[in-house]
Amino acid sequence: MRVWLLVLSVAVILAGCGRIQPVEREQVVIGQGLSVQGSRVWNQFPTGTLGADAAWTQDGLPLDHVLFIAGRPDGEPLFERSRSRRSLQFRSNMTATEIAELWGTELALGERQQIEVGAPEPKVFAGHSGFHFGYSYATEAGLVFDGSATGAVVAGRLYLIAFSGTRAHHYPAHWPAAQHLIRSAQVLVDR
Amino acid sequence: MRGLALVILLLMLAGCSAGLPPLPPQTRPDMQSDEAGFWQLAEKAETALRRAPTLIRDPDLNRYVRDVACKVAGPYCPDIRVYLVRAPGLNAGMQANGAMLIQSGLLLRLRDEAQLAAIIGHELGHYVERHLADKAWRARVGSDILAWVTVLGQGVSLREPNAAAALLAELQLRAFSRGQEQAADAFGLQRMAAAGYAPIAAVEIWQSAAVELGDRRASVVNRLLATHPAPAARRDGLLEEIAALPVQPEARSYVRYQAALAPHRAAFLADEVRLRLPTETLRLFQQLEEQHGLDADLAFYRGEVHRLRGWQDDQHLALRSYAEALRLPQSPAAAHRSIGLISRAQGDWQRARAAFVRYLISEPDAPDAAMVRAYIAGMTGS
Repeated sequence: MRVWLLVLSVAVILAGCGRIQPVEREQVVIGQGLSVQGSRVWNQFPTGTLGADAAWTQDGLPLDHVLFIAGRPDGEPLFERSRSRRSLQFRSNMTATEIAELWGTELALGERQQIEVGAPEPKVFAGHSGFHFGYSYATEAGLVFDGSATGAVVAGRLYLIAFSGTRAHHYPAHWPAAQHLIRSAQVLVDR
Repeated sequence: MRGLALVILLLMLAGCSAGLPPLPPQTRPDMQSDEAGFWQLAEKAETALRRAPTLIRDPDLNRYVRDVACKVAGPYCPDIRVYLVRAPGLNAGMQANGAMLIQSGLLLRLRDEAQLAAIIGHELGHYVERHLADKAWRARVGSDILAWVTVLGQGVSLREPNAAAALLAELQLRAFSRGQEQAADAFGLQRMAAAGYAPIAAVEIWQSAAVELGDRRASVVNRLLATHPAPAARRDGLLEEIAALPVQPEARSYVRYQAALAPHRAAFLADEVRLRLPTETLRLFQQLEEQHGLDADLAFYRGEVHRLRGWQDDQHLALRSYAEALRLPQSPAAAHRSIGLISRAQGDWQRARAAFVRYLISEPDAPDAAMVRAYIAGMTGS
């Protein structure tokens, strides 16, 4: 069984156990360092789902998801599954170009195909000089996804919000809500 | 006594064989047969494959591969469809109904048209010899063995009846798989020789695979090898088959193959780099250099492997590769950007700024130009 399918299956099983929590339209702190506020109710999966610090969805993880990386320190991988691979560790001196490359590799390791990672552009994130890049991929079932990652390295730690959704419906449908999350982001290390 | 009966039953089941004769050209299996069911499944898979976003749709490359396939297939030409799929790694496959899949990573690794003909001939062999239907049938027999033993094995004198049955079933499936591979090899060699291609090309594919993999039998990118005999055994078997061929043609068509691949080669190299399997990828790139010489794209992507690995000497090796790339014709501007990234990481901001500026001069409209300008602006301390 493909690892990615297994991860999704586990997520579905967890969903059946009632561990999905609604996230109301209020300020929420992800992990230890990233605060966001939604414009609508999101569905939150348990910490660690898909290897991220938090995974939220509107219509189900296989169709759309927001992944949060909330303060990844130097020497840690973006996703837990890559812990044993030194070349996949985040480095605090990485540029946006290198973070986008790392993201592309993580997609490839997640059994994604036809991966395209766009060029990063400067973007202010949580009040800090950050970056934004788009990406797309296809699943083994042939479903095409578009995605968008926005983040910044603050005090040596990576903060990033990535939204992925099916090109046919979920990305365009939920991108405004995902953008609202990105615009609301605050890095708590500032406080 | 019950244990003996059990063993006899296992051996009887293991000795069963579908024994399907080769499929004649332009023939479908009997609609009442199990094989027809496998064909229907394959047709469904093929319908999905036609819509797959990973399909390489370049008409020139598809036409070229289809022409080679028809040359090798001869009377079976109308029976097979070749699908090229964008994915790194060494893989190809055949469905029961004649739908053949070739992964872009395999195209990158092949040296010439004769090697492509070897792959097509081998996969065609699986189709003509009806191995997919036979394999599916045998998988069912293997399951039957396990089911029977689960029932009959309760309380018999064999110490671990279920484990023994599982082993027998697995060995049966593996043995047939090995036999099928050899049969497909033999068929493929005959077809490629009949089409005028040098049969030794088939041996070279497995020699290259053995070098690339080193001690690793199979990896995430080389699934073909995970289900096939070890490359060394494969090579020896092929050499025996070649010695027995009545003709030894010599056509290779190196230039034509590389010309067909050229528009896609840089993208296929980038796909390999993205997997971050540096040891295998560097071996692969070394082989490509030995086969074709060093070009700017190969030098650049070799540098990228070193840069992304980041071991002790990798930054130095990456910079050397980028320098080589920039000395060669049609060097990618991205080599300047990569020099800038390494120099920045090393704290050599003066060199980094100079490299980024050269990148922007070479690619003023680069999609990441604003980001690179931000890198330059951010380096103010030197």
